[in-house]
Amino acid sequence: MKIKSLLLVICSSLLLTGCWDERLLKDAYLVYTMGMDKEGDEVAINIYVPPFDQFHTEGSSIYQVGRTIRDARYIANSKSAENIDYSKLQLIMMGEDLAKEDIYFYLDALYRNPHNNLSARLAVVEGKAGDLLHKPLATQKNTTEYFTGLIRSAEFVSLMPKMSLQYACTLLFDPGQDLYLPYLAFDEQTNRGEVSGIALFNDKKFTGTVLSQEQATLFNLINNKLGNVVRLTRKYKEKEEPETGNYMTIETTMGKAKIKIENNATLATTIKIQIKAVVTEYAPLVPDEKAMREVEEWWTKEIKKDAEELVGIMQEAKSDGFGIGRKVAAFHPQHWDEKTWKDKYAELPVIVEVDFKLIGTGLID
Amino acid sequence: MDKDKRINQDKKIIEMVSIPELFKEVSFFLGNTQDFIKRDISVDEGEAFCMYIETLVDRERLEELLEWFQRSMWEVGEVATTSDFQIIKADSSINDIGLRIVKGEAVLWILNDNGWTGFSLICPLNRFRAIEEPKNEQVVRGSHAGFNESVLTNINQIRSKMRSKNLVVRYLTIGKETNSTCVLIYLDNIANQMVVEEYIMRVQAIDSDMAFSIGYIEEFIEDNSWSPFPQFLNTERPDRVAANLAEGRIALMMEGSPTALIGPVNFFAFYQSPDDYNGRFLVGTFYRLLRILSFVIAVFLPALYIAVIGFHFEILPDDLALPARRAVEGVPYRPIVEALLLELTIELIREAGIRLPNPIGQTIGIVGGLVIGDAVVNAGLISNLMIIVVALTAISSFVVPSVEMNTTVRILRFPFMLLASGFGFYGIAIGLMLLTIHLVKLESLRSPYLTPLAPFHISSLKDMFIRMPSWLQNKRPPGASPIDKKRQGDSRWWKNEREK
Repeated sequence: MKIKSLLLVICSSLLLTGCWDERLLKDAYLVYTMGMDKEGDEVAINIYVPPFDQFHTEGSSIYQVGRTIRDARYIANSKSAENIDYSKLQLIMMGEDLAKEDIYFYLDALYRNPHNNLSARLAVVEGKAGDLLHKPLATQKNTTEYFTGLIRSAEFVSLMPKMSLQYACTLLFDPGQDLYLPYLAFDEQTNRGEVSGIALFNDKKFTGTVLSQEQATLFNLINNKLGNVVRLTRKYKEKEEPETGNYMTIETTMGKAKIKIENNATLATTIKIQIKAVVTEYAPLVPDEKAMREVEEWWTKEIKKDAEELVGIMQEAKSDGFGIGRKVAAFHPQHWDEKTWKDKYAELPVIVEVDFKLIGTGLID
Repeated sequence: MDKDKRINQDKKIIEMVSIPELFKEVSFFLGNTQDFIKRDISVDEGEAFCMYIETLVDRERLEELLEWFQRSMWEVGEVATTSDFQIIKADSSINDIGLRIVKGEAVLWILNDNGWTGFSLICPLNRFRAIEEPKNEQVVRGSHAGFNESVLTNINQIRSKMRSKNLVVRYLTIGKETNSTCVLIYLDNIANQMVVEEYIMRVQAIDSDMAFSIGYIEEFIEDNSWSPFPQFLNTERPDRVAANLAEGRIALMMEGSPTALIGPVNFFAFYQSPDDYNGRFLVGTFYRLLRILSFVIAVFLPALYIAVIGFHFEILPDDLALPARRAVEGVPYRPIVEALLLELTIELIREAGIRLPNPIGQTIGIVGGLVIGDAVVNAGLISNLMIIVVALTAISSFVVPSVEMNTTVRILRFPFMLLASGFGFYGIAIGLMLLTIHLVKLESLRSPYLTPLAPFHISSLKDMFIRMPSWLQNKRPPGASPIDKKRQGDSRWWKNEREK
């Protein structure tokens, strides 16, 4: 009897209405790429959906302006036959103008949705994101695959560390470290997009300063966030013929850096860079001890010079991508003040020490 | 039963005065069946005749026996009882005689001045299949012998595998009409007496008028008939029975059924195959793990797929999301309808394959599978991902080395599919919880069904998901609560000896 009444209760509860959270994949319009731009006081989104069948090489896109991101998305939904779904979002591209404002206001909608893909990549675009998305590209891939692939390959060659939506949030709210994102540009000559460097942020706003590709590699090295391949190419000699012969390329097998901060009011900072490298391209190289020492010394100087320049640029932009502030807060809390830190950071005396070792010439005697 | 019959069956042979009267009475007892035959024979000692049911008796053998009987010099009362030959007392009732005849004996009576003298000539007509490998339990290596319909042959097979003084056979008769012989086999020194008694009690408690087969009996004696899980292990392999007896389990067999019903068993026994032990342990372990995996796939894969496609597609890897989206593009039904449609098709093909004669069965399987599979995708009714999922599930469900567990697994996935289509992963989790609760609570002959896991026995984990080398399994699994827990000592002492 007890069981019977219990069964009755359970069965009748099935008749109660409620909302059914079914989301059918076949009804979803999977957005892979989204571009965000400022359009006056409003925000414009470009959502990009890859092609669903083999007969189309290009997917479809929707452009929509709205008060907020959610608003724009909501209106965009009324223009699409399916339900626009952002759970497989791969790449969020932000126009320069938009990024120069507090970007958290625009990312808020993404963080709130539990279905959202937190490993989506973020990027800042030179000019407008919408323009880049709609440029005809010289590639066989569709727009989405292309731009996501672009960032992946930049991560592979250490141009950019992995920066997901999730990790970006940590940095956005960390007073001791600043966000940095890949900077996408369009190369008119080859009709392709490129990761032209790293966009530096101060707090939640893009500073406008972009590190070049060479600086970006060094930046990742100091941040201890290297990809699979790290290559550096510099002009080693002046008068070789042909011109290519003057340049030397090295590939580092091991590269790491340590940041030390002295415990006094000046917070004198030392960045120690350790590199072990193999020469991978330089035709005139003679593999003897003396020449090797010379190459080592030259690279030591070169990297020291570049690193100091890099630090200078970052201090000028007041962008603390290395997380020096976090170290100060952790190890020397008496000198840490969240409010004045950025000004202090800009004036910080930084010394770069480089320990460069050539462990191979890439040649066989 | 009417009055005439009751009077008839209690009549004693001595009360009869003539041969025709005796025949008439027995014939009446047997309902005047027309295959009941009387045959007069001539002996010196008086009038003699033989009666039997012609459809139960081996005629050639009967002639031989009668010939020998007539030729031999014998004196009444001095004929020894042999295996073919038994003396029947004259004060037996018609009932006794009738039962002998129904069993297939030919009854011979001599009437002279000393009264009735009776003999029973045992010459039953035995028509049995040869010993062949059971079709549903084939192995690659090891014995290819299987049981047949004769219980004597079957016991003989077991006994010749274990020539032990402790092997005990108990005869039980069940079925008020069918009078079927059941035999209970166990090892006296290992099997727990309480379990044996429980088993016997349950078999004897069956009050059915008939018992066709062991499968019919199983329903009467299992602990929980409402459970989808089989609580007795059915096998047609003598080696499997012998191995289980050696672990303290008890086997029940029945005349006319080539199957032994082994209990108490646990869930994992259904995933053990003689092949595991016939090969080396690494191979055995690999295939054991594969079978456990097949259980998971067969029960949960369609449900998982439905839940992902219908609720949680964000968990698809980035590179898979787009192909998956392409696959379901344009499918008119929701995933549950898709899945049920295809699952039912596969079940139909399977069922048709059993009924059809062998060569056609295979053709139907291939034609049905390929043609329907291809056409259904081309027609856009079902996505090709669903075909992959259902095909994989179907293959996995046939991996189980036990037919009943195989059916269980196939049935079990339907509730999971429904739950997944209603509530997504949440539904699957609820279902899994209910399934676990049920499995933990289930018993086989009052021993826990999920035994090495719950209650937990670390030493029998050696023969559960994995199979450790046989010489390491020194203890018997505790599932059947054997009296003698130790299975073996150190068989490889020479290894340590040599290293010293």
